[in-house]
This record gives sequence, structure tokens and C-alpha cells, in this order.
Amino acid sequence: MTEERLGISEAGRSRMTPERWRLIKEKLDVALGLEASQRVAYLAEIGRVDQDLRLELDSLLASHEQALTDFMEAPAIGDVSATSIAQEPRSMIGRRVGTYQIVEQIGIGGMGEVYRAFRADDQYSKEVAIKLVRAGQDSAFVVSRFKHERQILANFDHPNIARLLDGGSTEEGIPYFVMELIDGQPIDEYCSKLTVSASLKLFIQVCSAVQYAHQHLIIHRDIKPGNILVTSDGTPKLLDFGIAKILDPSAAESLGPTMTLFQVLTPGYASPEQIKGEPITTAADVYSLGVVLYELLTGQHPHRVAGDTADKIARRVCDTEPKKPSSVVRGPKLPSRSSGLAPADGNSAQAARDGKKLSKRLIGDLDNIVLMALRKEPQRRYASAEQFAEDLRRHLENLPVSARKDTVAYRTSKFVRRHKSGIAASAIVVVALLAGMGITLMEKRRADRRFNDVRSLANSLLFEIHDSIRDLPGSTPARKLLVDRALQYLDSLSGEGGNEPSLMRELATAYERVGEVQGHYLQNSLGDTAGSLRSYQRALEIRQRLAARSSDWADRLALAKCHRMVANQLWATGDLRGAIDNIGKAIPISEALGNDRPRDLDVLYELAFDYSMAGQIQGASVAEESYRKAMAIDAAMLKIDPNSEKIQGAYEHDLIDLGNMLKDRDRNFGGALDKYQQALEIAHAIRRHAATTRNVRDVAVAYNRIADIYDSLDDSPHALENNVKALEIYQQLITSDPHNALLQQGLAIAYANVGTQAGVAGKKVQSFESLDKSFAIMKDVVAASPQNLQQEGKLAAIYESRGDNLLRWHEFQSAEQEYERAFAIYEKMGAGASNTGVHLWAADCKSKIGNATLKAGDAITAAAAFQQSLNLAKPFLSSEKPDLTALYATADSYAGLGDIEVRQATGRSPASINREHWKKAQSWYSKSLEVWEKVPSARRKRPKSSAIVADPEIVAKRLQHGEAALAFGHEALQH
Amino acid sequence: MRWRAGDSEALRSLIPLVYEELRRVAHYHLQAQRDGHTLQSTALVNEVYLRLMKQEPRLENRAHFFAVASRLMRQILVDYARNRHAAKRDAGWKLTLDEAVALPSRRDLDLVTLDDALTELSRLDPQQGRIVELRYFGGLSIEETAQVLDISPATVKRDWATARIWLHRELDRGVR
Repeated sequence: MTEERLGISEAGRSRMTPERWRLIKEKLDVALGLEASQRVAYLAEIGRVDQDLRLELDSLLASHEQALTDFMEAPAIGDVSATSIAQEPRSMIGRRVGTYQIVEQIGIGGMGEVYRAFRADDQYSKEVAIKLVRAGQDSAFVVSRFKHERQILANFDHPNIARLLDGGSTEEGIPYFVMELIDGQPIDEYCSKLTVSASLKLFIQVCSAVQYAHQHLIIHRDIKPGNILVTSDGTPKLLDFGIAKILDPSAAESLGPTMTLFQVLTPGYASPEQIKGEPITTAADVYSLGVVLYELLTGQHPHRVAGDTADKIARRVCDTEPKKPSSVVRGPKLPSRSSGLAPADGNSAQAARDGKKLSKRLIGDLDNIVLMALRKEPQRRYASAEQFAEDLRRHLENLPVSARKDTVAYRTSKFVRRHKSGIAASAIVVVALLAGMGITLMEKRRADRRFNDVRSLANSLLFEIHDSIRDLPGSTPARKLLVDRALQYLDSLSGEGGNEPSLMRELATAYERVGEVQGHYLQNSLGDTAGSLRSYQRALEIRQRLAARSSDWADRLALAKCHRMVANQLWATGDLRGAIDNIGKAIPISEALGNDRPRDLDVLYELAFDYSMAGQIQGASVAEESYRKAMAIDAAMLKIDPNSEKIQGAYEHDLIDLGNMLKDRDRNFGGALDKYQQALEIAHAIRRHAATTRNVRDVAVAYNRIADIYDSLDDSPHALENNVKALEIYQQLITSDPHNALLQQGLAIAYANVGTQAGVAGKKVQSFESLDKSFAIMKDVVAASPQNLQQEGKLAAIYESRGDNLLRWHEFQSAEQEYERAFAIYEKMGAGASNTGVHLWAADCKSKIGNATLKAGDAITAAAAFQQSLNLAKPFLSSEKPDLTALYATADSYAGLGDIEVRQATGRSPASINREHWKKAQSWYSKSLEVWEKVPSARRKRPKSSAIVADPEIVAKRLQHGEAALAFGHEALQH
Repeated sequence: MRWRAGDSEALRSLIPLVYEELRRVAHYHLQAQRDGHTLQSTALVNEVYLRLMKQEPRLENRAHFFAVASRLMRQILVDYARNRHAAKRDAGWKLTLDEAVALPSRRDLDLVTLDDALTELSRLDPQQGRIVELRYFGGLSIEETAQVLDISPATVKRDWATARIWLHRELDRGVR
């Protein structure tokens, strides 16, 4: 920067005004977007008009080029030098901490200093290590946390774990831990003198220690060579177990995934999920073990951390794949931080020979094992430290290991994920992807077919590839192809009659996963309900065979679950009998399991789910008992685990179902409203806790149910208000997940409800607009999933709502057309299906058609429609407790037929003929009233929103009217 | 989304609490860094928000919270930097044991000078100043910043780019 330019800029600065800066900013922005050559021209152009401006821009652009790569790139906190808060530690030597006397400092660790101390009040003065924690923590918190963990840690008894003996805080409030004193050498140093096999044996011991801790629900979170000391007799000892968790304010109490930010981590050894602040499981320790083993074998860090900044390391850990261990020892030896197993210094030719030899030793199994532990995705690593150790053991015994190279399928899915935004619309990529996968499958077919193949198929192919392309526009054909390939492969595998239980389990799981992708009712699926059913049925067949041979409770639980899924898919396709049959099989299995394992939440959850689904499928007569059973189990589960969102959610769903029951069966609107409002409260609470799509949707469902109650009470303002709330939720949800069929359906229903209530409230424009939107959305949903008759039934209901609304504004012919469309769907659904409810909807719809056509003036068509309605409803009237919808349809149709006669009676016919019509009308009205007599009195009034042909009072009035006409002659009534 | 006047009142009364929490977090963060550990720094303000929300539902307005928290974070960090300046003057430059074992930190940015430059930038363009505060001190992403200020991400991106250039140049001058 020249003196001259500086001077000018200084001058420019002193007279800088907001206006001036705006101009500079604008030009700078343009200049930044230009190529170098264009930029020169652009600046020259500016310079001709305003030389100061040009110089200012030059200075800024120079600054830009100089150093903008990481200036202010990361948040400020990273730029504050840590030393600014360094504290001067008071010398601890000779001081007493708790009952211990500090002798000397033996180390400075990640979180503070470590001292050697001995128990001052003890006769045999046992030596201990005391770690002072200076991580800027609230000591009261750490101490209370320690008390909480103390029991677990005190019971830790493993030869390879240094025991945590005590903890507290010093008089200055610095938390400390008292640990078993280990006199040893860090494992990386120790192993540098050992052979590969000896190192592995040592490392296996470390794994067993980690496994032991995991079994006691403790994750280490900070495994690194400095925390693994090897004593002089060759015993490895893990230090600091439990400390990271104690120091982590947000760590959960259990081994479940914990979401946290303030965890202590060491960049080179922390797993990607730790670095990203994602939930942490035992897999994080498996990763760190992998890094340690990598270093022991190669003498190098998998991500070459030495001398790099923490954020660079973090980025590499998350983004780049480590090189194979065998490949890094082959080349010229790099200066390594730890000495490792790389050949000792000597002449370079010897070193190269040793490198080659070591490389050969590592190639294959050890490469695969280490890289498997180092995978970025926790679920793709070894499932446990034990499995990690097991593979190493197998390697030492020359047995085949379970670790495999990453598959082509996996790598392609990674490719898709990385380039998702860039390739969003590119069908070519999808095709290329499938070609790649075809090859993978062929290779696999030739390879030995162990369950790992099936597992990787279900996991990599379906979870990862499918999920990675699921949201790409236009990926549906590719996804279908993917599923087809998966099925072909699974079929060929199961066709060979695998009878090995673990393979069978994997196969069934894979089929279930395919079924889910094809058409899970709650998820964004391909909407292939029939295909999904087939896959679940295949899974079921395998599960049945398994359960017949195995006494494992988990197999029985999986069988019950599978029966339930099949029941659900059968129900969706309209096979009510099949659905009842399957849920009927699921329940006794779950019940028996529940007796054996009365506190097993997985079992109880399944049992409650089975009951709840049975309630939904079985219909009014038995449903209440099912719901009450489900809720009783939910309540029992909440006692075991009161904070479980899953159980709260289940309870909420059951409240809704029970509310439906109270409303529909008992007309107990108050009771139902109470249940719905309870459900709404729970749904709100769950949503506040975790605003997932499903949780948010549950709130909308509760609003919808409440609106329904107000509708029953003819309180259209409140009904409209609650429906609008539900609609708003769906509108918001759909923006974040526009292709979710379930949300689309919910949105369509919400619009339909708003449309209907707006219509009842007299808001014509709003009602038609909402119903049109509803229709447009639902039509797309149905088109996307032609097999799903439940959805088509909803479309029919929307047609009916449109018809009802047209009727409200006396557009009778248009109304009739809408009803006819609805009827056509009911007819299709009724054909061949055992879902008898459809015939009732059809009967009801026909009576509406009669009503609309009659009002449109077409008495003949109307009469035919009423007759059809009577015929459709008839089978449902004979039983002791006739169906309500059938009664309505019949009463309405009789009344409608009466109306037709009245119309004819008032025509210009001779009096005698008119009299005959009056008589016939009287007969129809009487029949209608007879039917009404069978309707429980609480059910005789229907809400305004339903398109009523005639309530009983009106029919009664018409009957009186007819009597008068017959008594005094038609003419008498003209006055 | 913008906040209502009532939200801002509610938040004002909570500033001491927010400040305390942020200071604690910053301190913990820096201490950990000193000890050779790194912590997720981008989600820092987010985390404070979530934590406070649990005990203080009045913090409903997330956008407003972030605006305030970013400002407070600026104060806290600049204070740290000032203290360090002071410490340097008082005790001379002393290398502690810890620094030797710590991972080498990034280019040591002069936050005190940056703070002055940012104040000047805010005078020239208040919105740009806020963007820097949210992005750099609050650790918010482009999108989050756009949401808080209710402007388009493209605008944030543009303003952020030119602000960084300008601040860099000002810092260059400050050092000389």
C-alpha cells in the first residue's frame, strides 16, 4: 500500500458520509462480480468521472484480494485469543484438597492440571491422581453432577479402567476429581516398540474396557492416546471415564442419543457428530477408538492434524475420507507426531522396505476394519466396541471379518447427497446412479450372500440412496426402479430358502423397509399401497416362520408389529375383513408378551398400538373397549417413562379416538370436546418440545376435531374459527414439505372444512374458493396414488361438500353433478370390497342426488334416486340396531318421495288424481316418520352443515299439511 | 419476521439474564479453547436461546432475541479483548504453559479495533452494521440473519461481502 494512496483514502475517509458509502458499496458490489479484465475497464470508467471514488475502490479491492479468505469467516468467538482469559493458578503443591494432600504436578491435561496426591488421613497413604478442572464451569453444577454419577462410577470395576474415586471442589470453587493413580506411558508411545499383532492385542483390551463402560451407560467422549496409559506390566488403563459427561451440562442421563453443544472435545479424536454438535452415542467412542488404532498402526493421524488449526481439523474430520492405513505407510515416511509402528529411523532404503512390509500387513482386513470404525455416519460404524474388537480378534485368527469396503451404492448415494442442490433436476444423475447400482447388485449376487448384504441393501440402497433422491423433482420413476431392483434381489435371496434365523430377520426387515418406501401411510412414500401390502405380506410370511421356530421374544414382537402393518395396509385398500383378521392376530401375541415383560416399553407400546388400531378398524361396537385398553397401557407406560414424547403422543392419539367415539356413538359432545381439548393441550406441549411435522400436524388434527364438535352443536362461528386454525397449520407445514402426500391430504381436508363452515356461516366466496382449493389438492393426491381407496373416499367426500355448498346457494343442477361424481367413487369402492360402510355412504349420497334433482325440477330422476337410496340402505335396517346413516338415508328418501307426490298433487290434474297423489305422499311421509322413530332422539337433529333433506319435524308438518289437503280439498290449501 | 413492541419490552427486562448466560458460555468456550479443545461456535447463540427458553418463555421472539444477543456478545468479546490489551500492558507478554500445548489459534484478530471500525460502519449504514453484528458476533448464517432483519438473503450476502472488505481495510489501517 503506497503512502500516496493511503493519504488519499484517509482524506476520503474523513469526509465519508452515508450517501458516499452507499455509492462506494454499490460500485464495489458490481466490481466484485466482474472478471479481472472487465473490472479494469469498469474502474477506469469510474475514474474518469470520480477519481476519489476510483481510488477508494482500488484500496478496497486490494484489501479484498489480500486476505479475505478467512477474515471474519468464523464467528468472533473463535478469533478471541483464548489466552485473554488465562488465569494464574495458585500453586497447588503441598495443599490439601478434600482428604488428600497434593504432592506434585504430573501433567497438564485438556481440562486442567493433574497432581499426584495421597490420602492424608489414611494409615497406608494410598496414592491417587487429582485432576483440577478449570474449564470455566460452574463448580456447584459439576459437583452436583458428580454426585449423580458417583454411584455408577463407583461401581465401575474393570481391570483396564482407572477408577474414579471421589470428587468435589476446592476452597476456590475449582472442581476436582480423584482418580486411581496410573503410572504408565501413553499407548501410542508404548506401541511404537510393538509388532502389529501385539499392538492389536493391547488395543482389544482397550475395546473391552470401553464396551464395559458402555454397558454401564457411560460414554467416554474423549478417548485419545493421552487418556490410555499402559503400565509397566503391559496393562492398558483408560483414564477419565465419566468426566466428560459430568462436565457436559446437557448430557442426558441415559445412553440414548444426547444433543449437546458444550461438550468437551479434542478435535483430532472427536467424531464428526461430536464436532457438529449432533446427538452422541456409543458410536462416538467407537470412532475415537478408530482414530487411536489408525495412529497405532500407521504412526499417523487419519486427518493429519499436526500443526493445523482446530477448525481446519474439524472441517476435514467432517468432510474428507481418511486414506487407507496401508497407503499412508507405503510412501516416504512423513514426520509424524507419534512414533507409531512406522519403521524406526535408519537408512531410507531400509525404511522403504519396512514401509512396504507394513503396508502389506495392513492391506485388506485392517484397512477395512479401521475405516469402518472411522465412518462419518455413526450407524455405519461398528455397532459396539465389542464388535470392533471381535473383528480384530477374527483378523488375528485369520477368520473372515465383518468389515467391508464401502460399496458403490454407498458412494453414489454420498455423491448425490453432496451434489444434491446442484443436480436437483438432473435425471441423468439418477439414471447413472441406477446403472451403478445395477453393477453393485450383480457383484453381490455372485458374492457370498450373508446377511450383511441384505443389511447393506436395506440400509445403503433404500435408506440412503432412496432418501437422498426422494425429494429430487422427477425422481419418482427412479425410485420405483430402485424398489423394483431391491425386490428382485430380495425375492431371489428368499427364494433360495434361507433358513438361517439372522438372515431371515434381515430379510424381513428389508421387506418391511421396502414396504415402507412403497407406501407407508405416515410418510412420504411412493404411494403404492398395493405393492407396499405385498412387501409387508412377504415380511410377515418370514416373520411367521421365524416365530414358529424361535422362542426369542423380539421375534414375536416383530411378528405382532408386522401383522399390524399388514392390517393397516389392508384397511387402506378397503379389505376390512383382512385387516380385522390381522390385527386380531397381532393382539394376542402382544398381550402374551406384555404379560411376560410388563415393564418393557417396546412391548407395551406395540400392544397399545394394536389395541388402538383395532379400535379404528373394528367400528363403533367394540372400539371403545379397545381405545380404553390402549389408553390404560399408555398411562402405565407414562408411569415408567413420564417424559417420553412418543408415549405422550400415543396417549394424545387415543384421546382423539376416544373423543370420536363419545361424539359419534354417544352424542356426548361435552365429553368429546373435553377429550379433544386435553389432546390439543398435549399436542401443543409436544410441539413446543419438538416441532416435527408429525407433532405439528397433531395440533391441526386436534383443532379439526374441536371444530367438528362445534359443527355438531351448530355453532358455525366457532367451527369456522377452529377449522381456520387447522388450515393455517397445514399451510405452514406444506411450505416446508410440499410433496408430502399426507400433508396434502390434510390440507385438502382443512380447506374443505373451512369451505363448509364458511358456507354455513353465509360466506359464499370464501366457501367456494376453499372448496375449490381443497378439490384441486385432493385430486392430485389421488392421482398420485390410484390404489389408495381411503384417499379416493376423501375425494368423494369433497365432491359431496361441494354439492352441499352449491345446494346452499340453490345451484341444484351443479350440486347434482357433484353428488354424482361422489357416487361414482363410492360405487367403485363398494365393488368387490368387503368394506360395507361404502354402501351406506352411497345410499346417503343417492338421497342427496334425489333431493338436488327434485329441486332442479326433475321429479323422475329424483324418484329413481330415492328408490336406489332405499335399496342400498335396506340391508342395514334389518338388524336390531340399525345403522344410523342407513336410517337417515331411508327417512330422507321416503320424505323426498313424499315431496314428489305433493308436487304432482299440486299440478293441473283432475282433483281425483291429485287426491291420489296426496294419499301417496301421506304414505311416504308416514313411512319416513316411522323410520325417524327408530332413530335415537339425540340423533334426530343433524347439524346445519349436512345437506338435510328434511328433519322429522318438517316431515311431520308436511304430513299434517297433507291431511288438511285431503280433508278440505287441495283448493282449500291455496289460501 | 418483525417483532412487536411488547416483545421488545419483555426482552429488555431479560437482558441481564441473557448477558449473564452469554458471558458464561463465552467464558466456557474460551477456556475450553485455551485447553486445546474446540467447541461448536456457530450454534452458540442458538444454544443460549434454547437454554433460556426453558426457564424463560418470555423470550418467544427468536429474531429479536438474536439481535439483542449478538449485540451483547459483541460487548462481551470486545471486553475480553480489551482486558487482554490491558494485561499485556501490565504484565508484558507472558507465555503461559497452556498456550504452548493449545492448538495454534487462527490469526489473532484485533477485536478492539474491529469494534471501533464497526461503530463507524454502523454510522454509515446501520443495517450493514447489524448484519455484521449478527453474522460475526452472533454466529448467524446468511439465512438466519436475513430472517432476523426481515430482508432478503441476497441483500445480506451483498452487504456482508462489502462490509467484510471495508472492515478488513480499516483494520489494516489500524494496525499501521
